[in-house]
Amino acid sequence: MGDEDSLTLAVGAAQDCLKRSNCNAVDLDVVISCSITKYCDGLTQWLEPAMSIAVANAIGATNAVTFDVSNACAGMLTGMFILDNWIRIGAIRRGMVVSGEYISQLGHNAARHVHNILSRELASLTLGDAGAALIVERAPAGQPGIDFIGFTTVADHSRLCLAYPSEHEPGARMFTKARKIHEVAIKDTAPLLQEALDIAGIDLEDVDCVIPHQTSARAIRKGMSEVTGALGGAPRHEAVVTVDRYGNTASTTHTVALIEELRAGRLRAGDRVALIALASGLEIGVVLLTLDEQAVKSHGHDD
Amino acid sequence: MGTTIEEIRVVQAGPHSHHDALWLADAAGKECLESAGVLPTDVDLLINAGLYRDRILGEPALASLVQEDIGINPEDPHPGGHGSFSFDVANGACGALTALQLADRFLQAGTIRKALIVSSDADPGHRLASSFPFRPAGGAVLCVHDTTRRGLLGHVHWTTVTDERHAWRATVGSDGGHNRLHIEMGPTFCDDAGVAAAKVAAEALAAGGLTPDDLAVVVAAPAYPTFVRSFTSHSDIDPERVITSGDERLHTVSLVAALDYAHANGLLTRNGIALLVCAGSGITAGAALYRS
Repeated sequence: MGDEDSLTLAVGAAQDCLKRSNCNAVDLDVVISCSITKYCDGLTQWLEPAMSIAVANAIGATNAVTFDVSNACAGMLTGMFILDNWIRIGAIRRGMVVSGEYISQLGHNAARHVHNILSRELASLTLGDAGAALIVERAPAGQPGIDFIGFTTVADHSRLCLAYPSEHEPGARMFTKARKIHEVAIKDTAPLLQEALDIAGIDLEDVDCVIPHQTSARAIRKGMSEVTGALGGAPRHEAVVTVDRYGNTASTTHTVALIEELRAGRLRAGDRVALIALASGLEIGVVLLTLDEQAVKSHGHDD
Repeated sequence: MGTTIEEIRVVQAGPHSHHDALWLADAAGKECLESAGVLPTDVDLLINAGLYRDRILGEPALASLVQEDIGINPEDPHPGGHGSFSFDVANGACGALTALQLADRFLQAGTIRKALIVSSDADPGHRLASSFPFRPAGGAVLCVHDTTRRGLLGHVHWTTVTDERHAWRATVGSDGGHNRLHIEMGPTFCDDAGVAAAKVAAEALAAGGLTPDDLAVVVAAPAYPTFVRSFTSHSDIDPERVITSGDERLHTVSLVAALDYAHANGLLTRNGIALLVCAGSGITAGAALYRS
């Protein structure tokens, strides 16, 4: 365990996000923190006050309304859904969604209890730490941006993955029926993605890049194969996989992957990206967005 | 046009029962829908604002468990089906007002037609809390969009006053080899929360072009008498117009219970304007105007 915790990861990401944006912290109308883990000072889980208050204070977002959203690994995209809604109705101009996931410690606890591949704690072994933040703001008329966001909770499967503080160790434990959750996630994603594409008036071939939640590389490739088979088309590029390098960074996976694709120069202005949330609940969300010049420039190429 | 509260329900655990927060949220949600004559399948959005649940479950959102238990379109997507969405918000004792604001804006956008807000707190069990300070209770509010002049008026106004002295904190941390829930409230919390609540109340009234005399009732949470005294002494609001749940041991359910009390006692009079005001850890305080 290093010096980081959920709050430091979130604050670091928020500061970096602001530095790369064209706005100041005082211009943020809202800060929504979406972490599953809320660890501060080691493995002390924070229940209240809202962690978003601490993030807003740390970055100087003195005018921001603050609250936390908890929606498992769909947290950041849920926050994005909320901000998109608030901006579209004219309630705010811009807001930040932020998350700090200091979650790899669940793997340390799981390692003491996993004895075979049927263990329900196996999924904890692939978790990774990350902080991520994004700013959503009103785009000038006619400019690209968020085309569609939709979420469905398929609650018949709400008990397939449960995480809570450990009784006998510091930190938490997570219990997942991994095979079942992958099976239903793949089956249910196809019709919900099709519905999202229909509403946006596009086909899967019109999507340049798909970023799914990062549970395992094998599950992502198998899932995309089944989804493209069901929808009768494929996006321009293969689905983005980052889990092999960073692990499953929980609510931050989509933002981490999106930034990596931008930095690697694999995404350009005008590219259409589909972010697909698959999270305990079972939460299935689709965000369709078209990248603008600023999103690309702010992350540039690493070379 | 605004978001109106179609039904409110509060459920309290009996003195000898050991109902957990999920059971309380389920019960309040079910009773609320039944009383309103609304089918679970008609609910588009479910938001849970409660904080203290069995085991301090971190994921999934408790709302998804409530959604399954109540039967709010939990099944796999199918032709002709109607999906629903659920998630949790956490904003201390102000969570219910945050949830009301979120529901209001999704309703305004036409994204949804009916939203159910639930909130509950109970001892998390499993030896997490040696003494749990809040009364186990669940609350539910059904919200719809209204095309008349009723409902929430304008924005919800918020303020946050951060100061270590307030020290309302709840954490789960290792203690003697076991995780334990620690809840502490600083000695000046109620006084300072009252000041913060008075500030947002004044902002809400000013934004609505109203004075305290225009209010039929002020629905306040939490119910600590010291908080209410501080709130009224820092505002021009007549203490006689302020109602609370009357139970200072209610936490995230406190505002819902105060609304329930106001509704049940005819204090949300036709065309009367209510001020909803709450304060919690942070210190965060929020206020909104509501026309009955």
